[in-house]
Amino acid sequence: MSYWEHNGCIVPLDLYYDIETQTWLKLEEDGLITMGLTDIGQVRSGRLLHARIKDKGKLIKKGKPVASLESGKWAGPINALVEGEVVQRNELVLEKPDIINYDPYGEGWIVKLKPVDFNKDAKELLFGESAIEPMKEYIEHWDIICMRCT
Amino acid sequence: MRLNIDLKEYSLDEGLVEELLNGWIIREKNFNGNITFHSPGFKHYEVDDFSIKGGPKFVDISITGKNCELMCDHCASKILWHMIPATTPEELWNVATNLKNKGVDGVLISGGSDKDGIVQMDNFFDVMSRIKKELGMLLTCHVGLVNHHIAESLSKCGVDAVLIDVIGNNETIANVYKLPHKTVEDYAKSLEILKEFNHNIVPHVIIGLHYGKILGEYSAIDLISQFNPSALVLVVIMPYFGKSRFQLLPPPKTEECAKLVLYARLKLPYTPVVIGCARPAGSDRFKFDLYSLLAGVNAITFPSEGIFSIAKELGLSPKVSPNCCSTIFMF
Repeated sequence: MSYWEHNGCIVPLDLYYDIETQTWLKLEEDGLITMGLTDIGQVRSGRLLHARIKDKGKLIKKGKPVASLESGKWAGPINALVEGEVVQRNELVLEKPDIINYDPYGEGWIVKLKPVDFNKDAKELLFGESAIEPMKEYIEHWDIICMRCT
Repeated sequence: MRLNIDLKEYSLDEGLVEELLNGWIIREKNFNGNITFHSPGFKHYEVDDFSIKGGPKFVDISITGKNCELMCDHCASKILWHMIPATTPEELWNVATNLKNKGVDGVLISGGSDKDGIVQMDNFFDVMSRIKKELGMLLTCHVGLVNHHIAESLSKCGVDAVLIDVIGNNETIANVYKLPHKTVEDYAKSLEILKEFNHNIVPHVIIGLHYGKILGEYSAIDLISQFNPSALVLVVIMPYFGKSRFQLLPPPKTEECAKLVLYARLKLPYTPVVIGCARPAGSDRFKFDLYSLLAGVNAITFPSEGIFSIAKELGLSPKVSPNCCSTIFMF
């Protein structure tokens, strides 16, 4: 996996990103998409204590909550980056939400969706290197230093 | 009494619900059925049916930063970690003026205790007075045990409310709070002194404080009821906040917690009874919030997803507030 790093924050270059919500999306080979919280997102939220993910089979519109996460200082939705049907929920995240803090791009993935029209919905997302500059601005604006629980 | 919606899908204890509705009737009768949902600004809180937009209006400040000499088993000072640190009077003034300029209307001054269970705030009274008088902010103060000097100084500052955790069991005071030289009597004395100075007192009772068990909570409510509180705040132990010994202990059963909420409602029928911000996340929280709603509480802070909608379906007219729940009696 090639990645970019700034202030300890990892940004893999094979993913799509929404900077404002600090969520990532991966287009899988089978056409499904996987979503999760970025390294920056997990630092800002703090140790996650609770997760809810919408039920399998549910169709989620783009921009609507597909999951919600809660830490001691933050509780909020994870909005679907593309419209799609929930095909898999990460049970590990439901059981142990702070896995997101440990491994946001790996074991801490949140949900898999079957997109309705990926090409249309993904237009507003930033892919790989195009996300670097806005990510850098975001990290510096919020003065973020990433630390991962080990 | 019968509710206008079917709650079967939530798998509640039906017998308990019947009992809790005695509290609902009290809220109907003595508070016109009003309920407030609070979302103070120290935490971003957004669920499907509830969020408050705009910047924070009420935040917490710790005058000891993350430090607490007691390091009680249930908290280990973690409650202070999310507060804005201001450990000198100058810092407190700067923080308060900055907050005021950013549109924050109120602050809670808190901090860690010394080894006698007292939050030492001697150096800060002058600035607290200026926060009230010059900045015109809502000012509440979460104290530990108090003496005449603290109560009098707080009174001179013009604090709007004094918040105090009340413990109703000596074993809990000794073991969990590490205060073997203090007893329930000391908490009673603190309440008495605060009332001597005509403070609006908002006692807090932590459900499950004794390592996840309910022990002194009922006595604490009995004690509090003797001192005409302006509101009572009930919170539930959050194992994650505690020391390692606490972290794996489950909080008390939701139904047990709900019974305590009802007890408080019945004991204080004319006083706002409020569910505070601290309680464990997860599915049990939804159930606890729903039971509390049915038991006639006056406010819930950071309501679980769905609670705001259910309150409306039940015919209540929920208000939302960006302030700390301890200010409920002021609005």
